Amino acid sequence: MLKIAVILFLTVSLLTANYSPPVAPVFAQTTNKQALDDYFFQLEIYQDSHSDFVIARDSYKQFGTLASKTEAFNKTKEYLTQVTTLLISYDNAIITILANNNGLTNEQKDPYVLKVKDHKTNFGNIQIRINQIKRLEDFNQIAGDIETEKQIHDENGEVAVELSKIGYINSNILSLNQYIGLIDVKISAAKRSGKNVSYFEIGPQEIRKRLTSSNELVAKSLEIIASTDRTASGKVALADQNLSEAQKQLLEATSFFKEIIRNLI
Amino acid sequence: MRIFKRDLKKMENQNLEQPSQIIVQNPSLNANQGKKGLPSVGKRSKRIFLILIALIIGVILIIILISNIQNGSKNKPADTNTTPNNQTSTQSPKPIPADLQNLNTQIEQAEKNLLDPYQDESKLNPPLVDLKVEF
Repeated sequence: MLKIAVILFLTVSLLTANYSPPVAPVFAQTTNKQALDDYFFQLEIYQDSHSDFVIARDSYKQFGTLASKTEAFNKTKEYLTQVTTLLISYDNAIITILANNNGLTNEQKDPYVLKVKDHKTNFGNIQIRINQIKRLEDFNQIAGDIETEKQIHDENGEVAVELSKIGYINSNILSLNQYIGLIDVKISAAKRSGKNVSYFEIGPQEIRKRLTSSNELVAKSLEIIASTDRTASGKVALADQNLSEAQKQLLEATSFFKEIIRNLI
Repeated sequence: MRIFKRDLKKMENQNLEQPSQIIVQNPSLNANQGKKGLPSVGKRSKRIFLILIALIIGVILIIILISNIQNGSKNKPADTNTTPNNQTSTQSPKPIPADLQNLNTQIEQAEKNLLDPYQDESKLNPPLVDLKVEF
């Protein structure tokens, strides 16, 4: 009996040794998609909330009854709370996108992340004030405060998004820089094996030229974003021009890469 | 006296036969004599135990089989050898070194990313909100 038990145990152990249970996905940090999905979800709720608010406000203005006033109070409270929730989820999305951007250093990201975090805090404080309001008329002041905060918030948001674009282009430069190292190794091997290497003399040079040029354009874009002598939209427009040129240079570099690989094969 | 002797013989024979009778009636008692520490399990309970073990093994095997099938279908490589429009190639393709193939894939991905950049960023325009409360 003991023998049978031991044999059975060993058999089961051997059978289960190769079995690996399905591994549950681990989310170390919020992905861009999750953050954007949350933002769009809040945007949908905002739209519903806005419709309810408009109906309640117009109804109160038309009839002026106590019931319509109570309804207008409740719906305005819900609506303004949702406005701030939407703006906070927008800030969260920006913070996430910057955090997940591999083309920027922490030193480059941090000042903008801090600005966006400040807005989040301010909208959070406004939410507390909304909850404390007792009179319908007091919502006018709160709406004005949200508008003032939102103006600076939107400008900083636009700049932060532009910074993320710069990081995106920079991460592509970094990748292509790694690939040029691999190409160099392959070209050396091809030369040693006596392959026709005429194209290999030009291709890598052209790639390097374009990578250097796009690198300079990215640095210029970063300078523009950090400058204080332009408005937010002015900075974004100018940085965008530089990024378009950098993007063009990188696309040309990828064409050279493909040509070299074709020759190596 | 004769009768006594005959009776005595009978009794002796009965005593000799007794152990075999005991084995037939209760074999487990005899089989387990002297084996201390082992539980006494009847033939019937042994069978039930073995059937249970077999069932457990069966279930485990089925689970492993299903999971292997699922993993197999997940990891199934894409069929790269199919030619479009059922055209058959006349000469065998030159094998591409794995590292070059890998590099080519990465470059193509980089090109794709650059052709359609800022996919996440383009969705993040500051939201337009109506703040005309006016009470």
